[in-house]
Amino acid sequence: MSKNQTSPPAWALRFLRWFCPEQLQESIIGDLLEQYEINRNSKSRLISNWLFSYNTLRFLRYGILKRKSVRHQSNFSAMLQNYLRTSIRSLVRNKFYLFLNVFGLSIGIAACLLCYLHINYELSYDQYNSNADNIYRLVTGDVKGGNGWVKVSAPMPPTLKKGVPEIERFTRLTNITRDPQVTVEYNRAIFSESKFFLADPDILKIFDIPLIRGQKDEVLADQNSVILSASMAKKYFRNDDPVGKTLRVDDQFDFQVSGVFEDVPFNSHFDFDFLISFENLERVLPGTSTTSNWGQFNYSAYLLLADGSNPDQVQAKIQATEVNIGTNRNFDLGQIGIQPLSEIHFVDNRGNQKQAYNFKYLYIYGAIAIAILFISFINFVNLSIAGSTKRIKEVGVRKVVGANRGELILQFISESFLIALFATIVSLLLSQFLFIPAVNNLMSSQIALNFTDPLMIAVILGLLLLIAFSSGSYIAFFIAAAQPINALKGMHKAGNRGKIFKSLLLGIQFCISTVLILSSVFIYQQLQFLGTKDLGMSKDQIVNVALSNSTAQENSELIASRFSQISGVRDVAGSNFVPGAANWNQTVWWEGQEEPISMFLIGVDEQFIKTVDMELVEGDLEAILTNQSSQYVLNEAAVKRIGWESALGKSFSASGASNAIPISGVVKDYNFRSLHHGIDPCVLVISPRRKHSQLVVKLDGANVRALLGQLQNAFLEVLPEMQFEYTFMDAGFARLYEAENRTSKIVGALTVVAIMLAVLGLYALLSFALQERTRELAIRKVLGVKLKQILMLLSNNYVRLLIAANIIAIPLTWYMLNEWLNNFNYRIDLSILTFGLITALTFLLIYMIAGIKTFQSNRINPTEALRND
Amino acid sequence: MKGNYLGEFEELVMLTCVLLKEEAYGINIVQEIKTRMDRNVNLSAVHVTLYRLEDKGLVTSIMGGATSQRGGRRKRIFQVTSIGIKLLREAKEKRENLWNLLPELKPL
Repeated sequence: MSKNQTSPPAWALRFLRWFCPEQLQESIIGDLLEQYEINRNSKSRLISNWLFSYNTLRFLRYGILKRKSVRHQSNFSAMLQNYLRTSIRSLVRNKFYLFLNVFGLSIGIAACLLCYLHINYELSYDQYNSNADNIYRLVTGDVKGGNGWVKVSAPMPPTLKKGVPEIERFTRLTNITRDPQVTVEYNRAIFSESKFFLADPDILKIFDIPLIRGQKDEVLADQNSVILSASMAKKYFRNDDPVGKTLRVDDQFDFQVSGVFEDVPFNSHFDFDFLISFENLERVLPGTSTTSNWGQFNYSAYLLLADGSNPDQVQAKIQATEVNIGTNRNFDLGQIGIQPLSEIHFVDNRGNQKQAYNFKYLYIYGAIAIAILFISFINFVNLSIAGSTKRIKEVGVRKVVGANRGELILQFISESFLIALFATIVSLLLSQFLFIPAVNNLMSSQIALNFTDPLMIAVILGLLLLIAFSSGSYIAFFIAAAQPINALKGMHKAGNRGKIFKSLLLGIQFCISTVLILSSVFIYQQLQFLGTKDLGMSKDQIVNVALSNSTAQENSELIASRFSQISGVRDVAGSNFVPGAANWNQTVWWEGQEEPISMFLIGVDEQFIKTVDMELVEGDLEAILTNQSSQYVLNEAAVKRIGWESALGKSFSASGASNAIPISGVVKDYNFRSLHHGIDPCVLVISPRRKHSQLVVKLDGANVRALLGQLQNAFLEVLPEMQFEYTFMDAGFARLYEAENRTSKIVGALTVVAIMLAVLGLYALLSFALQERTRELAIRKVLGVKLKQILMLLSNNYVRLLIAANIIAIPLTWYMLNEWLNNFNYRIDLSILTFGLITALTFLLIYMIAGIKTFQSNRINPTEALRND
Repeated sequence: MKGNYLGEFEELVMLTCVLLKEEAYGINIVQEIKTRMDRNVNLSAVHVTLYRLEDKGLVTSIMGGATSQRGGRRKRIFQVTSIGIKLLREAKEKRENLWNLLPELKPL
């Protein structure tokens, strides 16, 4: 025989060994090798190799495969039963470990689930509309960046519809008054409503607002008709049929109910309870016009575009539309844009009815959820490993009896699956009864576990399988490598293989926890800062009493004087000011003006400046207080915007050049909107106390409750049929930071979760380490080592890990927090002291946990531990 | 084997089997067929055929000698059983009867 050194390709042989029945392998492989030798004698190595592979692969055929015995399959269910039994027994034996495992894992799953539900919910905003893809809103300015203004003027939409063919329908939408409250009366019951809107009838055709009573084409055809939501119908009419009944609004206007619509869904960017036709605009809001006043941008306007329209083209057409407003002047539409419905909820522009939801948060929450899932998954694996070293004997026995690797892996995967299944059920229960209600409460949302959502089911199942498979196989690989003999004897080598991996995972846990802890501390600090910063006007001890209809407003002088007589009331003023809700924006005029610009206007009376302690930098306070006619007081930003050095006495007007009067004063800048924004030019339009929507009462006394009672009595003396409604000014401001408040709470909750999981993980690892090093510790104990040294020994590795984790975590947190804080025009500094303090605390935590373990190690009995060596 | 009849390939393999006596195993059969009939058959086809024949009871097998060429693996030696021989003879007889009925094909 020729001694050929070459050998055929090994992969082919391996492949054959895999698919070929065992009993046939010997002769087949032998024949293949012989054939290879024969080939090598006459052909090149390359061809022989190729022929070998070819011939080997030819054996992959039905005639061969069917001879693989089916002996294994028939016992499948029996094996599964055995696995189930042993799993349950081992789990029951270690109840504590099981509890920790399930707890940690279920929290991770719940976090993921909640995040998915939350993201789903926020993304679903406004998507219930069947025309959602074709609905756009008319806006102006930098809308994508959050600095835009989302209202336009009344004549704009109908004019655009005539000129732009893609616009199929339009509707305008606006609140009935400048201040949101209006009174609605039926059958002697008066309520004040804040969601009374005017809209074009087409709104019912653009948006999906199903009518419970009435027909879409008819309900708003008549100017005097009103439609209301189902819950309003219940409130006013109980079970009676509302259609045909008359509602009296603001004690002035009568409307007949012509239909009822389903409540506007929670996940909409707008919300209204009553709708009347937009044709009523000039009637209910004197001074406005549906066909002129192109500069009064106070109305939301929506467009329904035809299918397949190109939004950019439509926008270009809009901007190019020529509008002649008389005497050779054109109104410039160059700044007008259209915003798709899907974007409305996600960018916080001025003029939005509801607080928008910053899209970035979705990414952040998604990332955090995945991080938490990751942490709990790691914990699961580590805990399982720690628990499974006790099973090494069992694995040894199984191997001796004939289990192959595949079977062992299957066993551990099914055990993981069992635990994971249990954890999933627990997390579903926890979510349904604990977490989801809490989150809904926090975020004012309406998330629900919807079991008919295929995507959600897929997410849950996917998680379950992922956890089971990956952890099960990891454990199996870890354990299955044990030699049966060593296992039965009780010897097993300390698993040094997984050490780097484990350390890495724990390091990530530390990192995430540190980031979260620092974030929640600083977010909390920022919130505190926002709440206590000086705004340039008072907000404490100030009560805003609502004057909801014209009767109340006409009596405001009387009520105010009654209020002033109460001791403990320092000042009373009238105003339309609602913190943060600077919705009235209008073009103003001043002497020497080159181009008109618009400014915010706030309607107040002459007492207002004193009542809220604004600081006058120009003008005489006494003069302002005693002036009985209209006045204008600008803020410093307005003056700067105009470009004057001093404004006192210059001519100014907010209602056309012909009505200009000299400016009475200038106040120091004050934050009339949330501290997200800087201070824009703003004009206090002072008119004598009448026609303001609320009385602003500054309290001086200590007992606020009692004072409120007295105010209420005084109010009801004058207006016995009205309701005394009030809000506190500081509460009004606090409401501006709802989103941040929410974020703070969420981050706080997540921090708690992350810390819990990290502590869990650390505890698990330490337990494992303790087990492994029992002999070593026993020897040290015999040699007389002190507890403290054992503590250091155990915790050293982890302390080093924490340091490394912090090196990554701290800069990362600093960067992220900086970004977030830049959303605010006013923000805190990220102090190093706080960073240091928190870090020190985390180290302390580690030592504490290690300390507990050290205590436990004290119980090691050296004789017992070293017995088996 | 389709029905009770021997397939052409099966017949070929069985005949070669008888021919090779003690050395009737996979690759050897392939080589013999190549030499005698100038026909390239695939090793896997021969193997599968032999297993099928064994299932039908027409051949039996025992494990034979190992060589270093085969990496120390033994050969599976096949031997045609008496039933197998009987079927072979039957097949040959029936075919000859058919040939005899065709004067055109008779050699001159």
